[in-house]
Amino acid sequence: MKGMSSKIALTVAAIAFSGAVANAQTLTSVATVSVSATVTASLAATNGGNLNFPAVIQGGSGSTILASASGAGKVNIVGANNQGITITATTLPSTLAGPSSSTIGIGTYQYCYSQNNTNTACSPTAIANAGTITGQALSGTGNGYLWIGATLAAPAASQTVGSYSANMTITVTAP
Amino acid sequence: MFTLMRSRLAVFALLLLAAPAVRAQSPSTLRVNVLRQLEFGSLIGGVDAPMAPADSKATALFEIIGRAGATVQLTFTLPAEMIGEGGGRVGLAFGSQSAAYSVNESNVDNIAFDPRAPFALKLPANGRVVVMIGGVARPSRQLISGRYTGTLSLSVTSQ
Repeated sequence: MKGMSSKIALTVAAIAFSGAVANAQTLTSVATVSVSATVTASLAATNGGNLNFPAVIQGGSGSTILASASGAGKVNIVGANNQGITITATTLPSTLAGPSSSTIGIGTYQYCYSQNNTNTACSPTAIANAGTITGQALSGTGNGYLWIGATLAAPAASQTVGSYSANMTITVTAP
Repeated sequence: MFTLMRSRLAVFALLLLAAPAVRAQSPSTLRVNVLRQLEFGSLIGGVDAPMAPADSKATALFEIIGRAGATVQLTFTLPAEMIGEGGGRVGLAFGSQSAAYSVNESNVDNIAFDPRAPFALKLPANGRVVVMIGGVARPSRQLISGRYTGTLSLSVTSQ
């Protein structure tokens, strides 16, 4: 009988131990989500220098600045490394506006494009208003440079004296 | 006397058989479900994109279901970046307010917490809490356009 009590006591202890394990059990659950985004590389074009013609004289000759010359207009382009770009000459004016609604003609535009910040080795290529330049890319560090040259028409003998100007608009897109 | 003793032994034997059954049910009392993935959407190179846990419909959303009143510990495994198809990387950052939890799955009652460290909370009477997490995506200006992805995990532990 005493032996039987012992067995019962052992059984009770076993139950108590079993319950303790269940309460101390660590439960863990893990879930994973995806993190995602679609990146559009930045692309920016800024004015790197205006196209300034030297002074011309009434009844005198016109003036030409080549895109490979130091006085050419310049556009600085930055974007992703090696990114392909399309350049559009959105607006190339045909006249410059001067005092008292007077104008003077401008045309025969040409350009140079380089991944390096120098235009001296360039042979300018003609471009018209709304013309596009395709097949170009930014450099391995994401830079590109565009120079624009043009020819200013010869002023008339009665050309109003003063300053003449107009804006060019260049658009750069990633194809 | 002997009959009585046999009867007691039979009762204990039944208890012992019942105990494993109780333990087998325990794991089902804690579960984490994914309700929504973390989607930063369209990013512009060079422009950081912060996403607070409650101010967007694109934050990751988890649902924790467990025993009412249980204290659970949340531990995130946070990615440092998303990787693009071409190998480019978009940096990710998480701060002290990047995660939040809500007992009503609402933007009104959510409580912010820092996902960078383990965080403990008590499950409400219905045993369900919704956890949301945002962060900041930091695409560099030099990134190539395309899709960038990573993974983020939430581990929930209860004792």
